[in-house]
Amino acid sequence: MILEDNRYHVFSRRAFLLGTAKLGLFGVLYGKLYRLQSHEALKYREIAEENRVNVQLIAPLRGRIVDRRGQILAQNEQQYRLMLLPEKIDKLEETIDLLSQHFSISAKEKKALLRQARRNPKFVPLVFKKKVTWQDVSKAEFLSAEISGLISEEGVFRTYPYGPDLAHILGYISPVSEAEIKAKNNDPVLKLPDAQSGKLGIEENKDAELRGDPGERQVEINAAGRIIKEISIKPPAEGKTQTLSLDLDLQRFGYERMGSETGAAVVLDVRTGEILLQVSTPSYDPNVFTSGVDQATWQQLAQNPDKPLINKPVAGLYPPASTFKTLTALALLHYNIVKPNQTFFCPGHYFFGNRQVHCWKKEGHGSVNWHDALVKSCDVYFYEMTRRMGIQNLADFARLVGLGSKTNIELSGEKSGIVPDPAWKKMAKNQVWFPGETIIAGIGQGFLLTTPLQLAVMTARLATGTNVHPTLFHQEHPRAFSPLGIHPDHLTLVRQAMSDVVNVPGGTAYAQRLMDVGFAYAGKTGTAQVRRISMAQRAAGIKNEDLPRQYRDHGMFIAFTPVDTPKYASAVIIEHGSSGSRAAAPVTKDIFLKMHELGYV
Amino acid sequence: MSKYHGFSMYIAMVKGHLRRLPTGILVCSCLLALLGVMTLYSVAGMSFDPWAKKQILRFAFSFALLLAITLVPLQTWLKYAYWIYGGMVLLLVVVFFIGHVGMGAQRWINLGFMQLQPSETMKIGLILALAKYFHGVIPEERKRFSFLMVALLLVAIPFFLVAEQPDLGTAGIIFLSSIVIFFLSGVPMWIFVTAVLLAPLIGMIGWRYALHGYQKQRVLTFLDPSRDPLGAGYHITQSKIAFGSGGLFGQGWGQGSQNRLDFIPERHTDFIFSVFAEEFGLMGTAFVLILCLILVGYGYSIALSCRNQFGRLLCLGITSLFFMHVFINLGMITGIVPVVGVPFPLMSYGGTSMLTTMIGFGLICNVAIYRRDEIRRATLGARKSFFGTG
Repeated sequence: MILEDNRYHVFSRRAFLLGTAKLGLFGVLYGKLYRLQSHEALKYREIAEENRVNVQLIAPLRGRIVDRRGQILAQNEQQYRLMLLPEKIDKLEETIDLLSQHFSISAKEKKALLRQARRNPKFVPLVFKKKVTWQDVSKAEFLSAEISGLISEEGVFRTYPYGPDLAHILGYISPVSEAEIKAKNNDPVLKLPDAQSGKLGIEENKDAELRGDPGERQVEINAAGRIIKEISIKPPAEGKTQTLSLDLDLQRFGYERMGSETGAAVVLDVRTGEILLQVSTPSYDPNVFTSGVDQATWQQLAQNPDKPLINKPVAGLYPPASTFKTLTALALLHYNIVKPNQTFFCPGHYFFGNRQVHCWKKEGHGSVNWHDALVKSCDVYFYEMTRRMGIQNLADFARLVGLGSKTNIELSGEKSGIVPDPAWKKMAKNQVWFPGETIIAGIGQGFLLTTPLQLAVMTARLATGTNVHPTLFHQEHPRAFSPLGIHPDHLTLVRQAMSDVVNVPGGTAYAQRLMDVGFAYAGKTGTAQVRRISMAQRAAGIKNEDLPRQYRDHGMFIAFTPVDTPKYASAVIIEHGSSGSRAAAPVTKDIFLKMHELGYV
Repeated sequence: MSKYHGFSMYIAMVKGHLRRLPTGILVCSCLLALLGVMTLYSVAGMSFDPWAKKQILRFAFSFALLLAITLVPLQTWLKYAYWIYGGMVLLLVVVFFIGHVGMGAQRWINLGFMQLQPSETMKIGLILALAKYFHGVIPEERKRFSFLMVALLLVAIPFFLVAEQPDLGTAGIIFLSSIVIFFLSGVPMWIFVTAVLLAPLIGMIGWRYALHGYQKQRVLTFLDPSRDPLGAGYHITQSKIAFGSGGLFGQGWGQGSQNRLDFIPERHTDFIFSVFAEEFGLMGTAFVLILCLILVGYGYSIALSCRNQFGRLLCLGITSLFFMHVFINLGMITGIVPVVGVPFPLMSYGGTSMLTTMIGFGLICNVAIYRRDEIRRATLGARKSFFGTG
């Protein structure tokens, strides 16, 4: 029993030590629980909430673009895409092989799909066909009976129903780049998968307005990132519809009327500056750009000598040629260089220093006054009068009427053109001005370069005497443009001369006059030299039409209608069309007839 | 000679024994198991399948086993202690070979209705064997080197078999629970002091030669959780978030977001208490801690009132085993100790753990019933009666 007592004594003493240690450890555990569950509970509650809730943005629908009468020019179309859910498929590779018997899936696409499947969690769907037809969707539905995990999903795609007719105005959309997201203030819409932004045209210009505001979906996600349920949803706000000033029917007519000719045509409302028609040919189909253009198509577009990617009405630069004489003629009156009835004799050529230049009419116009010189487009008259006026007056006046600077139309890539004067030449070429350059500027040749839109704006300003500013957006009310400060009598004289160009025998566009339709138009032809005509050719009497196409002159025509109370101004340029009267004026005439049909005049 | 004769006497004896059962242990273990089942129900998305239903059946079976164990006299357990130990070692050897034939770590034997993990039951077997070994010791022997070596051998065999599986957590618990028995049975203090001083050296050798790569990883992750934010460190972080988001009163049964959304790993086994903590808050966790404290307290009061060394050592050995499970599991899921796969007794889903805990409680109850018996040191052979109180 002594042994037992001893043993119990040792045991109880050590059990006491051990028990104390355990109590201490219980204390540690309780302390830890208290700290986690009471002291730091709020912090952990927040983290748990962050764990649980995921905010997802819902892509807003891109705003539509419509014409002045609400006809749709750019829209969002529901289209279907086919996807595979990897988590429901045992043998992905075999499934893809099976699918490739029904849908075209290249070996490269297959590899990309398998790579994507390895990278992503199993519940992320693999898209293997985009923009599929209804037949493909029903085929997929049929196949899904044997291939579980094959599903079709509705998606939204941007489409341009009239494709090339408005390509240069609308632009297109394509996937955004990292740099673009940064440049656009990290707009969350741009960070969404499949996000696209406007490239060129209205899509670019009004990208922010068209983009809309994203919706927000709060979802509960599990540890693997799978969505368990929806907590709340705020629907996205569709982008603002953009109403353009264009008339779709007129635009389509214009594009069709240009046919295989390359060039540009612009019609604007002189009272509001609204552009009703703006055609650039050749064109391209913007629909191929939205889904990613392939290399071959791109090469073809980029290397085409007729430059389909250039928006010619605002980015094409042409010498205004004889259309510029309207401006020169007005400047002559404005600076009081000539009296309208003062005559000058045109022998068909003009001596300037020791050089001889020619009138377009070899035999000469004989004695011409201001009005006849403009109507018959006498070069010699304008050589002499411009010489008297001086280049600075001409340049100042051209700038007043809107040449040499951008019109600030709502499109990117607009060119400002060139209105040359000694200061310009000094700066651009570091050369002195030669007097000979003054006289060819007077007939719209030489360094002078204008865009077709500038010519249309110039015409509108001549027709109204106000600072017409062009716009592509529909205007509810007429805009009050400030007056140009040109004497109304001078303007009337120019308008009368332009009317006579079309409506009086001997005018360069008399053949294109309108008869028996109840309205008339005024205009001015122009023929811009692409290549200098050599003496030998002139002597041999080689006609412009006989030259290879790329050497033929550009034909141009500016016009306004009706004659008495101008409402619309236009500029048409037919590249290598040989002459304004034969190429550009008929197009203008047909456009005006179409406008008459549509009720504009 | 036995006091009882015939069947009616046997019934009377059983009744007598049952009256002497410490009901507190039964109530506390039932409550723990109930909370465990409730949590499993919640983990399964408020469903009895696949875990809660099975757990109930297992608890019922284990509870019956506990009662059966109390009916076998303490001296019988003493008598067969080495046999039980031997049987457990044999099972470990069996899984050792199955494991090497199969692939990777094999820790269980398939019994059809459950997977038996011999490493769990081994804990009880070792405590029985050590209690018996130290029961038979006289003070002079306690200091003899050869005497200690035999005891250490009893520990070393299962320790290495389990560590080889490799199951570091269980091996550690086996080691620690034997240390407790060594300590309680009066092994001189200087040996423990020396062992503590030598521990860093042994630790370094172990680090270099014995630990598997993933085990080293766990220790390193414990020391610096940020080095593996998506692995073990991630699990601990998510578990702590669950505790914290539970707050004082919990998010409600079946409402814990960390639980529902799979953020907590191993929710039905090792991390079940994190789920419980998230849904029942500090009120719930403190309640469970109190239940555990009561159970440990019962162990101490029974051991200290027991008149034989075998009963005392057995009782406190098992109590310490229970405590260690609670402490290591809670410590792990709250980030106090490294991640070692230790279940929470009675709450974690797992047949062997449930069985082992209830067998242990059965033995504690048994000691409670027979605590007034004085069992002589080494004269078991002289006893004639199977039942009875010598």
